[in-house]
Amino acid sequence: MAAAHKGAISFGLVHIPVELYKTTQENTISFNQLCKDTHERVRYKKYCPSCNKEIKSEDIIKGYQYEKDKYVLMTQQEIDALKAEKDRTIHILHFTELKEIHDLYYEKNYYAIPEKSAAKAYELLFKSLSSLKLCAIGQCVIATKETLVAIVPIQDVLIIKTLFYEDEIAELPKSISHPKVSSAELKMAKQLIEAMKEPFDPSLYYDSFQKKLKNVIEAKIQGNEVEISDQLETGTPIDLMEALTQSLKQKQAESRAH
Amino acid sequence: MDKNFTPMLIGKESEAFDSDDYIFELKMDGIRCLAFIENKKVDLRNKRNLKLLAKFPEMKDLGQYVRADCILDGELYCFHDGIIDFTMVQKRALLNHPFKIQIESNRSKAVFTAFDILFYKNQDVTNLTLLKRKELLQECVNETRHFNRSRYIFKEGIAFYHKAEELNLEGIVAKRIDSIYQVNTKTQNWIKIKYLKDDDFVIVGYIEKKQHISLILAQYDQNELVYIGQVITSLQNLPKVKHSHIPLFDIKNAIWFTPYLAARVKFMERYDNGSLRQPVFVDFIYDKDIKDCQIKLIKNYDKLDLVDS
Repeated sequence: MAAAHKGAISFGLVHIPVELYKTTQENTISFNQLCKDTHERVRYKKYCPSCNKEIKSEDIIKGYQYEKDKYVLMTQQEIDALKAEKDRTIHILHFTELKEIHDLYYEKNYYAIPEKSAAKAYELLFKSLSSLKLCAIGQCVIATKETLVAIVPIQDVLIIKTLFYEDEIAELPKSISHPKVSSAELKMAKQLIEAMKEPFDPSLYYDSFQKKLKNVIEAKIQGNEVEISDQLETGTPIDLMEALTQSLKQKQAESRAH
Repeated sequence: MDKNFTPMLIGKESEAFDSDDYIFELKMDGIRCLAFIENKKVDLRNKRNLKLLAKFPEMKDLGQYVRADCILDGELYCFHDGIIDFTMVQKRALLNHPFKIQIESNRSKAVFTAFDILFYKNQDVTNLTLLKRKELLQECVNETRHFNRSRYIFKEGIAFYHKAEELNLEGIVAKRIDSIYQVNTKTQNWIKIKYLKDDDFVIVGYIEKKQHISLILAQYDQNELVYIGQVITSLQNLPKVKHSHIPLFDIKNAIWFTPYLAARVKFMERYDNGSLRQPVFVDFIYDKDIKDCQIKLIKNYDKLDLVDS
């Protein structure tokens, strides 16, 4: 897997070059759209209804719709001028206790892997955060977005958690009324819950639709390619190596005989 | 088991030779890997120490075919239609989607050929000589379809090289029989002897770099010039060529020529899209009509005839 981001963790005089890797992998089936007659991939064309023709990318500009059919136009230069200088370094702003960060703020996770030369500095940061039970709050530019992150030691690695900004968190749309409940009701509910308590084992769960879909697709591939399993039976790389070394040994024997 | 090291790399290249001090084995064109096998569990790492098992799940069972815990050095590659197909293993290594990986691992199992052993029966064996290690390797590995040991011959490097060349293989490696295994190093005791292919290309321009220039290579597909790739040379090598203001391909900061110059380039392999692997500039050629620089889309190799007559 390629690194999603290359940069460094930096605070004070400490500079730790790291690579960030995604902690998740895409594992759902997605289909391509095909023409039903030719089985060719369907292509999208960008089209302007007024010009009645296809538009090339160099003829496309950006506009912000502020009311119907009214746009503020922005050139790429205008947009670029506003962007933060592309600073790939994660600047630590301060340290904090993990419980200070509300769960709703977490967006994505990355594994932070140190470059070889930075293994020791990384270990120091990891060990001290773990023993102090703290995490770091920092900011950096990932892709083109200025991103707020928390650096959290989990098991034996530093996890970079990207955080939502405060203005991205939606407010509770309706208030919860919290009516009075009797202690008897509460006790019964608690008992029911306790009776169903078990450790959480993520390996027990999967998307059954995806699983069935994959089985069907695999069966179809195998059904289409019966000849492939036959092909594997002939000519292994060892045959190749054997043939080469054997034929040479033979020649050696022959030349000695002559 | 310490896994924080990289395999010993080949540190020398030469022409084919014969010598009593060396054994010779095939250079397999794939991904160099270390296989760490502990309690039958496998951890496969490439030479930059990246874990590879998730990409090649068919290698999970290697532990069933070894006699004891071990660290093996070898090559992971795809064997397809009788040849070692580098493009195929490279494509596999680029897959990320677990289901696609699963499909490919069923359709075209990769092969791991071990050629060295670093750790065996709880002992570091890197200080033993190559021949001793080869003995241990033989004892350790029970061969199966997708897991085997590299074969080698003594002394006759030249004949072996020509055999490999006949079969259009990447080349051979000579290894000193008394040499030890030193991790994290490049060794002069391992010598690669490579066989390259070559072809002629139209030079349609170049890009100036700091120390050198990159020639832009093209070939004709019927009457149309197709972009092939780039090859490095120095500006002093370049003969006088008529410049053109019309860019032929979408390449920034290039200086374009009116096509008439041709050059010969050596390379390891041609990808299916026509581009070159490890191109090396040979020379400009002047005795050729550039229209004869045609792209050849047919595979370069005939089927192997394994039976030696």
